[in-house]
Amino acid sequence: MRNLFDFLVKYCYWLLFLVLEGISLAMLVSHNSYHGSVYLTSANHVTGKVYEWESELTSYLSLKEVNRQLVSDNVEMRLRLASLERALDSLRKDSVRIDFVAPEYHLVHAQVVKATLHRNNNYLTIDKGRRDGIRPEMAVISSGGVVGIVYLTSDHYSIVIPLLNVRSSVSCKARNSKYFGTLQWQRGAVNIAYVIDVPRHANVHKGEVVETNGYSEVFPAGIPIGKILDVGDSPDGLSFMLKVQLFTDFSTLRDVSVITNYSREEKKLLEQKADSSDINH
Amino acid sequence: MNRGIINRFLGFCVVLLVQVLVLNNVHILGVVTPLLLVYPILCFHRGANRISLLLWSFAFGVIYDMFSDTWGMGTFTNTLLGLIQPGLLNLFSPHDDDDEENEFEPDLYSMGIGHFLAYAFFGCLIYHAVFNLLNAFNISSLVFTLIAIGGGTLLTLVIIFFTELIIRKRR
Repeated sequence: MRNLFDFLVKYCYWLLFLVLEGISLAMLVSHNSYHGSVYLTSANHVTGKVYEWESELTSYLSLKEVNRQLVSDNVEMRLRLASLERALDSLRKDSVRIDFVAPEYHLVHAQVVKATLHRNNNYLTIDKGRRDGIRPEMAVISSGGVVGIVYLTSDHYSIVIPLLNVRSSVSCKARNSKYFGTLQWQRGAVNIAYVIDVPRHANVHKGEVVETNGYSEVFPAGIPIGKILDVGDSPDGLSFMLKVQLFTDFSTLRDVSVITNYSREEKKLLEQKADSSDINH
Repeated sequence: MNRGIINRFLGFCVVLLVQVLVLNNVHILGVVTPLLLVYPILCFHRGANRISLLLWSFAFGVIYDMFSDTWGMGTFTNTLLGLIQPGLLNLFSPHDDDDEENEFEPDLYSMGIGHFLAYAFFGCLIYHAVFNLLNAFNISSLVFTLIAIGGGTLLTLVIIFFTELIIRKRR
Protein backbone atom coordinates (compact mmCIF):
# COMPACT_ATOMS: atom_id res chain seq x y z
CA MET A 1 0.00 0.00 0.00
CA ARG A 2 2.80 2.33 0.97
CA ASN A 3 4.66 1.44 -2.20
CA LEU A 4 1.56 2.22 -4.21
CA PHE A 5 1.23 5.55 -2.45
CA ASP A 6 4.90 6.35 -3.11
CA PHE A 7 4.46 5.38 -6.72
CA LEU A 8 1.45 7.66 -7.10
CA VAL A 9 3.25 10.57 -5.44
CA LYS A 10 6.33 10.07 -7.58
CA TYR A 11 4.48 9.84 -10.86
CA CYS A 12 1.39 11.93 -10.12
CA TYR A 13 2.63 14.54 -12.57
CA TRP A 14 2.61 12.02 -15.41
CA LEU A 15 -0.62 10.48 -14.23
CA LEU A 16 -2.26 13.89 -14.19
CA PHE A 17 -0.95 14.55 -17.68
CA LEU A 18 -2.39 11.27 -18.97
CA VAL A 19 -5.73 11.93 -17.30
CA LEU A 20 -5.96 15.43 -18.76
CA GLU A 21 -5.00 14.21 -22.23
CA GLY A 22 -7.55 11.43 -21.91
CA ILE A 23 -10.21 13.97 -21.09
CA SER A 24 -9.10 16.03 -24.09
CA LEU A 25 -9.36 13.09 -26.44
CA ALA A 26 -12.75 12.17 -25.04
CA MET A 27 -13.88 15.73 -25.73
CA LEU A 28 -12.37 15.53 -29.20
CA VAL A 29 -14.25 12.42 -30.28
CA SER A 30 -17.49 13.20 -28.48
CA HIS A 31 -17.92 16.79 -29.66
CA ASN A 32 -16.53 16.59 -33.18
CA SER A 33 -18.63 14.44 -35.45
CA TYR A 34 -15.81 13.82 -37.91
CA HIS A 35 -13.33 12.79 -35.24
CA GLY A 36 -16.00 10.71 -33.56
CA SER A 37 -16.81 8.89 -36.77
CA VAL A 38 -13.12 8.24 -37.47
CA TYR A 39 -12.69 6.94 -33.93
CA LEU A 40 -15.75 4.75 -34.20
CA THR A 41 -14.68 3.43 -37.57
CA SER A 42 -11.26 2.54 -36.20
CA ALA A 43 -12.83 1.06 -33.12
CA ASN A 44 -15.22 -1.00 -35.20
CA HIS A 45 -12.36 -2.18 -37.35
CA VAL A 46 -10.43 -3.30 -34.28
CA THR A 47 -13.37 -4.98 -32.57
CA GLY A 48 -14.40 -6.49 -35.89
CA LYS A 49 -10.95 -8.01 -36.27
CA VAL A 50 -11.04 -9.39 -32.75
CA TYR A 51 -14.45 -10.95 -33.34
CA GLU A 52 -13.25 -12.34 -36.65
CA TRP A 53 -10.31 -14.03 -34.93
CA GLU A 54 -12.58 -15.38 -32.24
CA SER A 55 -14.97 -16.72 -34.85
CA GLU A 56 -12.16 -18.39 -36.76
CA LEU A 57 -10.84 -19.97 -33.60
CA THR A 58 -14.20 -21.29 -32.42
CA SER A 59 -15.09 -22.58 -35.88
CA TYR A 60 -11.73 -24.38 -35.97
CA LEU A 61 -12.40 -25.92 -32.57
CA SER A 62 -15.84 -27.08 -33.67
CA LEU A 63 -14.52 -28.68 -36.87
CA LYS A 64 -14.67 -32.10 -35.24
CA GLU A 65 -18.40 -31.80 -34.65
CA VAL A 66 -18.94 -30.30 -38.10
CA ASN A 67 -17.00 -33.15 -39.66
CA ARG A 68 -19.01 -35.75 -37.77
CA GLN A 69 -22.22 -34.11 -38.93
CA LEU A 70 -21.02 -33.96 -42.52
CA VAL A 71 -20.05 -37.61 -42.50
CA SER A 72 -23.39 -38.72 -41.08
CA ASP A 73 -25.25 -36.55 -43.59
CA ASN A 74 -23.13 -37.95 -46.38
CA VAL A 75 -23.86 -41.51 -45.38
CA GLU A 76 -27.57 -40.85 -45.21
CA MET A 77 -27.45 -39.18 -48.62
CA ARG A 78 -25.65 -42.13 -50.12
CA LEU A 79 -28.15 -44.59 -48.76
CA ARG A 80 -30.98 -42.44 -49.97
CA LEU A 81 -29.35 -42.15 -53.37
CA ALA A 82 -28.86 -45.91 -53.57
CA SER A 83 -32.50 -46.61 -52.71
CA LEU A 84 -33.72 -43.97 -55.15
CA GLU A 85 -31.56 -45.42 -57.91
CA ARG A 86 -33.06 -48.82 -57.26
CA ALA A 87 -36.51 -47.29 -57.37
CA LEU A 88 -35.68 -45.62 -60.65
CA ASP A 89 -34.37 -48.86 -62.10
CA SER A 90 -37.49 -50.73 -61.11
CA LEU A 91 -39.70 -48.06 -62.65
CA ARG A 92 -37.75 -48.13 -65.88
CA LYS A 93 -37.94 -51.87 -66.16
CA ASP A 94 -41.63 -52.21 -65.34
CA SER A 95 -44.20 -51.10 -67.79
CA VAL A 96 -46.69 -50.65 -65.00
CA ARG A 97 -45.86 -47.99 -62.46
CA ILE A 98 -45.82 -49.20 -58.91
CA ASP A 99 -45.71 -47.16 -55.77
CA PHE A 100 -42.30 -47.38 -54.31
CA VAL A 101 -41.47 -46.48 -50.79
CA ALA A 102 -37.76 -45.99 -50.27
CA PRO A 103 -36.63 -47.75 -47.15
CA GLU A 104 -35.57 -45.53 -44.28
CA TYR A 105 -32.43 -46.86 -42.73
CA HIS A 106 -31.71 -46.18 -39.13
CA LEU A 107 -28.11 -45.20 -38.61
CA VAL A 108 -26.00 -45.14 -35.50
CA HIS A 109 -23.03 -42.84 -35.93
CA ALA A 110 -19.84 -43.93 -34.27
CA GLN A 111 -16.16 -43.17 -34.19
CA VAL A 112 -13.32 -45.55 -34.75
CA VAL A 113 -11.29 -45.67 -31.55
CA LYS A 114 -8.80 -48.33 -32.58
CA ALA A 115 -7.81 -49.84 -35.87
CA THR A 116 -5.24 -52.28 -37.15
CA LEU A 117 -4.24 -52.19 -40.80
CA HIS A 118 -1.26 -54.42 -41.37
CA ARG A 119 -2.31 -57.81 -40.10
CA ASN A 120 -4.07 -60.67 -41.83
CA ASN A 121 -7.11 -60.16 -39.71
CA ASN A 122 -7.45 -56.48 -39.17
CA TYR A 123 -10.27 -55.15 -37.09
CA LEU A 124 -11.73 -51.84 -35.99
CA THR A 125 -13.12 -50.89 -32.61
CA ILE A 126 -15.95 -48.36 -32.60
CA ASP A 127 -17.32 -46.45 -29.64
CA LYS A 128 -20.93 -47.63 -29.88
CA GLY A 129 -22.21 -50.94 -28.63
CA ARG A 130 -25.17 -53.02 -27.59
CA ARG A 131 -26.78 -50.20 -25.66
CA ASP A 132 -26.85 -48.14 -28.83
CA GLY A 133 -28.70 -50.88 -30.66
CA ILE A 134 -25.73 -52.41 -32.39
CA ARG A 135 -25.71 -56.17 -32.91
CA PRO A 136 -23.33 -58.54 -34.69
CA GLU A 137 -23.61 -58.77 -38.47
CA MET A 138 -24.78 -55.23 -38.94
CA ALA A 139 -23.36 -53.20 -41.81
CA VAL A 140 -20.79 -50.51 -41.12
CA ILE A 141 -20.37 -47.82 -43.72
CA SER A 142 -18.68 -44.46 -44.02
CA SER A 143 -19.09 -41.50 -46.32
CA GLY A 144 -16.73 -43.28 -48.72
CA GLY A 145 -18.70 -46.49 -48.82
CA VAL A 146 -18.58 -49.93 -47.24
CA VAL A 147 -16.36 -50.30 -44.14
CA GLY A 148 -17.16 -53.73 -42.81
CA ILE A 149 -19.43 -55.86 -40.65
CA VAL A 150 -19.98 -55.79 -36.89
CA TYR A 151 -18.43 -58.90 -35.38
CA LEU A 152 -18.69 -58.58 -31.62
CA THR A 153 -20.46 -56.13 -29.36
CA SER A 154 -20.14 -55.11 -25.75
CA ASP A 155 -22.35 -52.61 -23.98
CA HIS A 156 -20.44 -49.59 -25.25
CA TYR A 157 -18.07 -50.82 -27.91
CA SER A 158 -18.16 -53.00 -30.98
CA ILE A 159 -15.54 -54.78 -33.01
CA VAL A 160 -15.90 -54.51 -36.74
CA ILE A 161 -14.39 -56.80 -39.34
CA PRO A 162 -13.38 -54.36 -42.07
CA LEU A 163 -12.96 -55.14 -45.72
CA LEU A 164 -9.25 -55.34 -44.88
CA ASN A 165 -9.59 -58.74 -43.30
CA VAL A 166 -8.85 -61.98 -45.11
CA ARG A 167 -12.00 -63.46 -43.59
CA SER A 168 -14.12 -60.65 -44.94
CA SER A 169 -16.35 -61.52 -47.85
CA VAL A 170 -18.88 -59.15 -49.35
CA SER A 171 -21.19 -59.90 -52.22
CA CYS A 172 -20.96 -57.19 -54.84
CA LYS A 173 -21.31 -56.30 -58.49
CA ALA A 174 -20.21 -53.71 -60.98
CA ARG A 175 -22.74 -50.92 -61.14
CA ASN A 176 -23.74 -51.46 -64.76
CA SER A 177 -23.59 -55.20 -64.71
CA LYS A 178 -25.95 -57.77 -63.34
CA TYR A 179 -23.24 -60.38 -62.67
CA PHE A 180 -21.97 -60.47 -59.16
CA GLY A 181 -18.88 -61.66 -57.38
CA THR A 182 -17.33 -61.70 -53.95
CA LEU A 183 -15.05 -59.01 -52.62
CA GLN A 184 -12.07 -60.29 -50.71
CA TRP A 185 -8.94 -58.74 -49.40
CA GLN A 186 -5.48 -60.15 -49.79
CA ARG A 187 -2.68 -58.96 -47.58
CA GLY A 188 -0.68 -55.97 -48.60
CA ALA A 189 -2.08 -52.70 -49.81
CA VAL A 190 -4.72 -51.22 -47.53
CA ASN A 191 -6.68 -49.69 -50.38
CA ILE A 192 -6.81 -52.65 -52.79
CA ALA A 193 -9.18 -55.63 -52.72
CA TYR A 194 -10.27 -58.21 -55.31
CA VAL A 195 -13.62 -59.32 -56.62
CA ILE A 196 -13.49 -63.02 -57.41
CA ASP A 197 -15.85 -65.41 -59.17
CA VAL A 198 -17.03 -62.90 -61.73
CA PRO A 199 -18.20 -64.89 -64.79
CA ARG A 200 -16.02 -64.49 -67.87
CA HIS A 201 -18.96 -63.36 -69.94
CA ALA A 202 -19.72 -60.50 -67.54
CA ASN A 203 -19.25 -57.20 -69.31
CA VAL A 204 -17.11 -55.28 -66.82
CA HIS A 205 -14.66 -52.50 -67.57
CA LYS A 206 -11.87 -50.61 -65.86
CA GLY A 207 -13.06 -47.56 -63.98
CA GLU A 208 -16.50 -48.92 -63.20
CA VAL A 209 -17.84 -48.60 -59.68
CA VAL A 210 -18.27 -51.74 -57.62
CA GLU A 211 -21.15 -51.70 -55.18
CA THR A 212 -23.06 -54.03 -52.92
CA ASN A 213 -25.71 -56.05 -54.70
CA GLY A 214 -28.18 -56.55 -51.88
CA TYR A 215 -27.95 -60.33 -51.92
CA SER A 216 -26.24 -60.48 -48.56
CA GLU A 217 -28.09 -60.23 -45.31
CA VAL A 218 -25.89 -57.42 -44.16
CA PHE A 219 -25.62 -54.71 -46.77
CA PRO A 220 -28.43 -53.03 -48.66
CA ALA A 221 -27.90 -52.81 -52.40
CA GLY A 222 -26.09 -49.94 -54.05
CA ILE A 223 -23.55 -48.96 -51.42
CA PRO A 224 -20.32 -48.13 -53.23
CA ILE A 225 -17.21 -50.15 -52.44
CA GLY A 226 -14.57 -49.07 -54.90
CA LYS A 227 -13.47 -48.61 -58.47
CA ILE A 228 -12.20 -51.31 -60.84
CA LEU A 229 -8.50 -50.79 -61.47
CA ASP A 230 -7.89 -53.89 -63.54
CA VAL A 231 -9.82 -56.79 -65.00
CA GLY A 232 -7.78 -60.00 -64.83
CA ASP A 233 -8.13 -63.76 -64.79
CA SER A 234 -8.57 -65.75 -61.64
CA PRO A 235 -5.77 -68.24 -60.82
CA ASP A 236 -7.85 -71.14 -62.13
CA GLY A 237 -8.69 -69.25 -65.30
CA LEU A 238 -12.39 -69.96 -65.02
CA SER A 239 -13.54 -66.50 -64.03
CA PHE A 240 -12.49 -62.88 -63.87
CA MET A 241 -10.77 -61.39 -60.91
CA LEU A 242 -11.28 -57.64 -60.57
CA LYS A 243 -8.71 -55.49 -58.86
CA VAL A 244 -10.61 -52.83 -56.94
CA GLN A 245 -9.41 -49.63 -55.38
CA LEU A 246 -11.47 -49.15 -52.24
CA PHE A 247 -13.27 -45.85 -51.71
CA THR A 248 -12.91 -46.03 -47.96
CA ASP A 249 -9.54 -44.78 -46.77
CA PHE A 250 -8.97 -47.01 -43.78
CA SER A 251 -5.78 -45.27 -42.74
CA THR A 252 -7.68 -42.05 -41.96
CA LEU A 253 -11.06 -43.55 -41.16
CA ARG A 254 -12.66 -42.00 -38.13
CA ASP A 255 -16.41 -41.46 -38.54
CA VAL A 256 -18.54 -44.45 -39.45
CA SER A 257 -22.22 -45.36 -39.35
CA VAL A 258 -23.89 -48.63 -38.49
CA ILE A 259 -27.12 -49.59 -40.21
CA THR A 260 -29.20 -51.06 -37.43
CA ASN A 261 -32.52 -51.84 -39.11
CA TYR A 262 -31.47 -53.67 -42.25
CA SER A 263 -32.43 -57.10 -41.11
CA ARG A 264 -33.82 -59.81 -43.27
CA GLU A 265 -34.72 -62.32 -40.67
CA GLU A 266 -37.37 -63.84 -42.87
CA LYS A 267 -34.90 -64.34 -45.71
CA LYS A 268 -32.30 -65.68 -43.37
CA LEU A 269 -34.72 -68.19 -41.85
CA LEU A 270 -35.85 -69.33 -45.26
CA GLU A 271 -32.26 -69.85 -46.41
CA GLN A 272 -31.41 -71.73 -43.23
CA LYS A 273 -34.45 -73.95 -43.81
CA ALA A 274 -33.32 -74.57 -47.36
CA ASP A 275 -29.81 -75.46 -46.19
CA SER A 276 -31.15 -77.98 -43.70
CA SER A 277 -33.66 -79.51 -46.12
CA ASP A 278 -33.02 -81.99 -48.84
CA ILE A 279 -32.59 -79.43 -51.61
CA ASN A 280 -28.81 -79.54 -51.28
CA HIS A 281 -28.57 -83.27 -51.02
CA MET B 1 0.81 34.59 -5.34
CA ASN B 2 -2.79 35.59 -5.84
CA ARG B 3 -1.69 38.58 -7.83
CA GLY B 4 0.38 36.36 -10.05
CA ILE B 5 -2.60 34.13 -10.65
CA ILE B 6 -4.86 37.05 -11.46
CA ASN B 7 -2.29 38.58 -13.78
CA ARG B 8 -1.83 35.29 -15.52
CA PHE B 9 -5.57 34.84 -15.91
CA LEU B 10 -6.05 38.38 -17.19
CA GLY B 11 -3.19 37.93 -19.63
CA PHE B 12 -4.78 34.75 -20.84
CA CYS B 13 -8.15 36.49 -21.23
CA VAL B 14 -6.59 39.18 -23.40
CA VAL B 15 -4.85 36.58 -25.57
CA LEU B 16 -8.07 34.59 -25.75
CA LEU B 17 -10.05 37.61 -26.93
CA VAL B 18 -7.44 38.46 -29.56
CA GLN B 19 -7.37 34.86 -30.70
CA VAL B 20 -11.14 34.37 -30.84
CA LEU B 21 -12.15 37.76 -32.17
CA VAL B 22 -9.28 38.46 -34.54
CA LEU B 23 -6.87 35.65 -35.25
CA ASN B 24 -9.48 32.92 -35.69
CA ASN B 25 -10.73 34.90 -38.67
CA VAL B 26 -7.34 34.93 -40.33
CA HIS B 27 -7.04 32.18 -42.97
CA ILE B 28 -4.06 32.91 -45.16
CA LEU B 29 -4.08 30.62 -48.23
CA GLY B 30 -7.28 29.23 -46.77
CA VAL B 31 -5.49 27.18 -44.14
CA VAL B 32 -2.94 29.26 -42.21
CA THR B 33 -4.28 30.52 -38.90
CA PRO B 34 -1.99 31.84 -36.16
CA LEU B 35 -2.51 30.37 -32.71
CA LEU B 36 -1.42 32.89 -30.15
CA LEU B 37 -2.72 30.65 -27.38
CA VAL B 38 0.75 29.20 -27.15
CA TYR B 39 2.06 32.48 -25.79
CA PRO B 40 0.69 32.40 -22.18
CA ILE B 41 2.11 28.93 -21.71
CA LEU B 42 5.51 29.87 -23.07
CA CYS B 43 5.57 32.76 -20.59
CA PHE B 44 5.50 30.49 -17.50
CA HIS B 45 8.62 31.16 -15.41
CA ARG B 46 11.19 28.52 -14.73
CA GLY B 47 10.60 26.51 -11.58
CA ALA B 48 6.84 26.89 -11.76
CA ASN B 49 4.97 24.01 -10.18
CA ARG B 50 4.58 21.45 -12.92
CA ILE B 51 1.19 20.27 -11.77
CA SER B 52 -0.13 23.81 -11.64
CA LEU B 53 1.38 24.41 -15.10
CA LEU B 54 -0.49 21.37 -16.45
CA LEU B 55 -3.76 22.46 -14.85
CA TRP B 56 -3.42 26.01 -16.14
CA SER B 57 -2.66 24.78 -19.62
CA PHE B 58 -5.60 22.42 -19.53
CA ALA B 59 -7.94 25.15 -18.29
CA PHE B 60 -6.75 27.57 -20.99
CA GLY B 61 -7.36 24.89 -23.58
CA VAL B 62 -10.88 24.11 -22.39
CA ILE B 63 -11.87 27.79 -22.39
CA TYR B 64 -10.36 28.33 -25.83
CA ASP B 65 -12.19 25.27 -27.19
CA MET B 66 -15.46 26.53 -25.77
CA PHE B 67 -15.12 29.79 -27.68
CA SER B 68 -13.77 28.49 -30.92
CA ASP B 69 -15.72 25.24 -31.13
CA THR B 70 -12.60 23.13 -31.48
CA TRP B 71 -13.47 20.72 -28.69
CA GLY B 72 -10.52 18.74 -27.47
CA MET B 73 -7.97 20.08 -29.95
CA GLY B 74 -6.90 23.14 -27.98
CA THR B 75 -7.13 21.27 -24.69
CA PHE B 76 -4.99 18.39 -25.88
CA THR B 77 -2.39 20.65 -27.45
CA ASN B 78 -2.22 23.05 -24.53
CA THR B 79 -1.80 20.23 -22.01
CA LEU B 80 0.96 18.70 -24.10
CA LEU B 81 2.75 22.03 -24.32
CA GLY B 82 2.31 22.42 -20.55
CA LEU B 83 4.18 19.14 -20.18
CA ILE B 84 7.14 20.03 -22.39
CA GLN B 85 7.43 23.76 -21.68
CA PRO B 86 9.84 23.37 -18.70
CA GLY B 87 12.14 21.17 -20.74
CA LEU B 88 11.99 23.52 -23.70
CA LEU B 89 12.78 26.49 -21.48
CA ASN B 90 15.77 24.71 -19.92
CA LEU B 91 17.04 23.97 -23.38
CA PHE B 92 17.16 27.57 -24.57
CA SER B 93 17.59 29.66 -21.40
CA PRO B 94 20.94 30.65 -19.82
CA HIS B 95 22.07 28.80 -16.69
CA ASP B 96 24.74 31.15 -15.34
CA ASP B 97 22.92 32.53 -12.29
CA ASP B 98 21.60 29.91 -9.91
CA ASP B 99 19.85 32.33 -7.59
CA GLU B 100 17.79 33.87 -10.26
CA GLU B 101 17.13 30.60 -11.97
CA ASN B 102 14.03 29.71 -9.98
CA GLU B 103 12.28 32.93 -10.87
CA PHE B 104 13.59 33.21 -14.38
CA GLU B 105 10.90 34.49 -16.70
CA PRO B 106 11.34 33.86 -20.38
CA ASP B 107 11.13 37.01 -22.48
CA LEU B 108 12.87 38.71 -25.34
CA TYR B 109 15.30 40.64 -23.14
CA SER B 110 16.06 38.11 -20.39
CA MET B 111 16.86 35.36 -22.90
CA GLY B 112 18.19 37.40 -25.76
CA ILE B 113 16.50 37.68 -29.14
CA GLY B 114 18.12 34.59 -30.61
CA HIS B 115 17.40 32.28 -27.74
CA PHE B 116 13.92 33.60 -27.25
CA LEU B 117 13.01 33.26 -30.90
CA ALA B 118 14.38 29.72 -30.98
CA TYR B 119 12.45 28.86 -27.82
CA ALA B 120 9.25 30.42 -29.16
CA PHE B 121 9.77 28.86 -32.58
CA PHE B 122 9.95 25.30 -31.25
CA GLY B 123 7.05 25.95 -28.92
CA CYS B 124 4.95 27.30 -31.79
CA LEU B 125 6.03 24.53 -34.13
CA ILE B 126 5.03 21.78 -31.70
CA TYR B 127 1.80 23.54 -30.88
CA HIS B 128 0.78 24.08 -34.50
CA ALA B 129 1.85 20.62 -35.54
CA VAL B 130 -0.21 18.88 -32.89
CA PHE B 131 -3.19 21.19 -33.26
CA ASN B 132 -3.34 21.00 -37.06
CA LEU B 133 -2.80 17.25 -37.15
CA LEU B 134 -5.63 16.79 -34.68
CA ASN B 135 -7.74 19.16 -36.73
CA ALA B 136 -7.08 17.30 -39.96
CA PHE B 137 -7.20 13.85 -38.31
CA ASN B 138 -6.08 12.12 -41.49
CA ILE B 139 -3.05 12.15 -43.75
CA SER B 140 -4.81 12.51 -47.08
CA SER B 141 -4.56 16.31 -46.92
CA LEU B 142 -1.02 16.26 -45.60
CA VAL B 143 0.21 19.07 -47.86
CA PHE B 144 -2.41 21.49 -46.56
CA THR B 145 -1.67 20.40 -43.02
CA LEU B 146 2.05 21.05 -43.53
CA ILE B 147 1.31 24.48 -45.00
CA ALA B 148 -0.94 25.23 -42.02
CA ILE B 149 1.76 24.10 -39.60
CA GLY B 150 4.60 26.01 -41.27
CA GLY B 151 2.62 29.16 -42.03
CA GLY B 152 0.91 29.24 -38.64
CA THR B 153 4.22 28.77 -36.81
CA LEU B 154 5.91 31.63 -38.62
CA LEU B 155 2.91 33.93 -38.33
CA THR B 156 2.50 33.24 -34.62
CA LEU B 157 6.23 33.72 -34.09
CA VAL B 158 6.05 37.14 -35.74
CA ILE B 159 3.06 38.13 -33.60
CA ILE B 160 4.80 36.97 -30.41
CA PHE B 161 7.95 38.87 -31.38
CA PHE B 162 6.11 42.15 -31.87
CA THR B 163 3.98 41.56 -28.77
CA GLU B 164 7.18 41.05 -26.77
CA LEU B 165 8.67 44.20 -28.24
CA ILE B 166 5.61 46.23 -27.25
CA ILE B 167 4.99 44.73 -23.78
CA ARG B 168 8.57 44.61 -22.56
CA LYS B 169 9.32 48.11 -23.89
CA ARG B 170 6.47 49.52 -21.84
CA ARG B 171 7.79 47.83 -18.70
